[in-house]
Amino acid sequence: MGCDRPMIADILVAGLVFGSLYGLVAVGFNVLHRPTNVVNFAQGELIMIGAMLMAATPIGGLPWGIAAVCVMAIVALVALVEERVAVTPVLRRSSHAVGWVITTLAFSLLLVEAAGRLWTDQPSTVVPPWPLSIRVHEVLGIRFSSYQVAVVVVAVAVVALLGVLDRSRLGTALRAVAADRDGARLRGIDPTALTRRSFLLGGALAGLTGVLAAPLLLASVTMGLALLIKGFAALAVGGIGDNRGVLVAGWMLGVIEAAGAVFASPGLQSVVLFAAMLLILLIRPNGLRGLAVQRHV
Amino acid sequence: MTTYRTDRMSRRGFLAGTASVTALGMLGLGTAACGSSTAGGQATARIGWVEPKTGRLAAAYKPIYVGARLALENLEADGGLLGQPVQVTEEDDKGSPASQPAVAQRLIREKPTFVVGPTGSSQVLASVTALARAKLIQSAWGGAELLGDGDRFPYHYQLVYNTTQQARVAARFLYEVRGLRKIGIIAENSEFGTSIRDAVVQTLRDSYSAEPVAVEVFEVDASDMTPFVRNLERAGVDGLGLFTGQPQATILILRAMTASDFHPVIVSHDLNYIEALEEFPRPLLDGFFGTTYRGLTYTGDEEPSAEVRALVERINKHPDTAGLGYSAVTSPYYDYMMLMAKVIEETKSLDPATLKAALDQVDGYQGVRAKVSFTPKRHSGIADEDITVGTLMSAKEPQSLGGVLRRRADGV
Repeated sequence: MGCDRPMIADILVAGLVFGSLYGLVAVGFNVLHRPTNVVNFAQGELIMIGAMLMAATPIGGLPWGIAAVCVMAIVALVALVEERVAVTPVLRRSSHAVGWVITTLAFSLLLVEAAGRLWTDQPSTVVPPWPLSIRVHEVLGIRFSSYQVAVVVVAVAVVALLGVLDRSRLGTALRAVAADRDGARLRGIDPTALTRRSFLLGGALAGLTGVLAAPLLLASVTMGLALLIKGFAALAVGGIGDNRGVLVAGWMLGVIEAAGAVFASPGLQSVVLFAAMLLILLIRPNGLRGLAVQRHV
Repeated sequence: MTTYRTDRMSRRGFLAGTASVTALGMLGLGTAACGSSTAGGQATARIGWVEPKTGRLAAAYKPIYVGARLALENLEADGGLLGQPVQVTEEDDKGSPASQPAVAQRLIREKPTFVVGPTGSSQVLASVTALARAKLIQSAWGGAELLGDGDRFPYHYQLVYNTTQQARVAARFLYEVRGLRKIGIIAENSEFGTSIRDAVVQTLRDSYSAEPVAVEVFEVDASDMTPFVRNLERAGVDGLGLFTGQPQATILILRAMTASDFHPVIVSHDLNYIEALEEFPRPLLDGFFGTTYRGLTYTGDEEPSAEVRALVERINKHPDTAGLGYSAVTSPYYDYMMLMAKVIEETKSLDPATLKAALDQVDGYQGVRAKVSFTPKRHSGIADEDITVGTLMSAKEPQSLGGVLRRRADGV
C-alpha cells in the first residue's frame, strides 16, 4: 500500500488523540495501584459510567465545567464504594493477597449490570465545551479538531499535576505505602486513608476520562472493556507506577493501532497492537523507561 | 390469563418446592413432568422465552421482545391457546452465546410447546445447535443463512430475512437501481460482517460481473474509522454497503465521512434512527438507505396495512419500546407468535411433531412485515419480494408513525 504525507498525519493525529485516552486509563490504574498494589479491573466500567452520566442523564444539560465536576464526583464516590466493598476487605486480610483480582472484576460486573438496566446500547453524542468542536480543520495538510488538541493537552496536564503531587508529602507517603504497607503503618502513615483517597482520585480520573472520551468515541454501555484493555496495554508498556511512561506508551500504542489499520489489514488492528506490545515488553520488560522496579521512599 | 415463571428461585421457594414435591410423591399424586402440562384434562400451551434480562445489553434487547409481548396480549384476549391460559417460562441468556447450552438444558427439561428467541446471530447458532436434538420448535432472531436450512435445523423456523437475501437486495439497489459502479463495502470483523460482506461480493460477481473497488473490515471496538473511510474515498467509492451491528461504529464511520466531505450512497442493514445521527449533514443522511420489510414501508401512493398501523400504535405505547420502535417492529417475534397460535388452533394440537408438520406446509401466511412460507427443507420463511430498501431520514416524516415505519426508496 502506498503512503503519503496526509496519511502519515492522519495516523499521528489519531495515535496521539486516542493514545492520550489510553494513557489516561493507564494513569488511573497507577493512581489506584500506588498505595494498594491493586490493579483495578473495574476502571473501564468506571470510565463508561462517567461517559454515560455525561451523555444520558440531566447532568449533561449543565454547563460543561459543572457537569464534568459532577461526573467526576459521582464516579469518585462509586470508586470509593468499590474500595470499601471490594478492595479493603481483601487487603485487610493480607496486603499481599490477590483476591482483589476477582473482587474488582466482580465490581465491574455489578457496574455493567446496572448500566445494562439503565441504558440501551444506543450510542450518545456529547458535545464538546465551547469553543471546542469536533469539526475537522486542515493546517499544513494535517487534519484535526480543536477538541482533539484539547484531549492531548488535558492528558499532558493530568500527568504533570500528578507529577507535582508525587513530589509532595502525600506522594512520598503513597510511595512508602506502595513499598511496604505494614512498614508505612509503623511510621505513622495510615494506609487505609491513603487507599481511600487514591480511589477517590482514581475514580475522579476515570470520570474525567469518560467525559473526555464521550465526544470522540460516543458514550455507550459497551465502551468500557475496550478502553480497559488498551489502557492496560499502555500500563504494561509504560511501566506500572510511571505516569509519564504510560502516557508515552499510550501514544505509541495509539500510533501503532492507527498505522496497523492503514499499513496492515484494518481488521488486524488489535493483532498488530498486541504484537507490538509483546515485542516492546520483550525488549523493555520493566516498561519503556524501566522505572517500574525503582522505589524512592 | 398468562402465567409467568422465571428461572429465578429463592431459597425459601426452593425449600417449599422440594417439600411439596416430596409430599406429593409420598401421597402418590406426583405426575411425570413431561410433555405439555394439563389443567382439568385440557392441554396447556407453554412458551419457552429466551431473553437477556441481565448483562450489559439487557435494556437494549427489551424493544426486540415488545412484539412478542403484544402477541401474548392478543392470545390472552382470545382466551389463550386451545381455550387454556398460556404458560410462559422466561429464561435469561444474558445476551451471551456461552449461556445458551445452560438455557437449552433448562428448556429441554421444561419441554415448552415452542421457544421464542434468543436474539443475535452468535447466540442463535449456539442455541439452535443445543436445542436441535430436543425437537423443540423455535424461532430466533439470527440472520445466518444456515439457520433457515430445514435439513440442518429441522425445528428452527427463520422469520427474518437472511444475510444472503439482504446482500442481494443491497447489491441490486446500489448497482441496478442507483446505477453506481464503484461499489465499496465496510463491514465489522464478526460472523455477521463476514457473511454479509462475502454475500455482497458474490452477488456483484454473479449478477453483474462486477467487483467491489474497496472492501474494508474493521474490528468492532475500533476507536477511529478514519483510515477505513480514507481507503474507501481513495478508491473513489460512490456506493457503499455498510454492515455492522454496532451503532457506535456506524456513527464513527459517518463522522469520518463528514470530516472528509465524502458522501457516497450508503446501504445498510439497520434503519434505526438514533439521536446521535443529529450531528451529521443532511445530504449525508439523505443518502443513507437500509434493507427492510416491504410491509413496514410506504410510498406516495401506498400506505402500510391497517394491521401494521395498529401494531405500530401499540408498540409506541409499550414502555419497553424506549424509542426504538423500528427494532420492535422489525423483530420476528410478533409474526412468529401469531403464526404459532394459528397453527396450534388449526391442528388442535400441542404435539411438536404435529406442529412441525403443519409449519412445514405454511404457504403465504400474511405476517405484519411480510408473507411467510416454509417447506420441510426451506425454513427461511421471508420471500425475496418482501424485502426492500427504505430511507433513513423518513424516520422524521409523520407517515413513519413516530419514526417506526420507513419510506421505500425510489426505484425499488
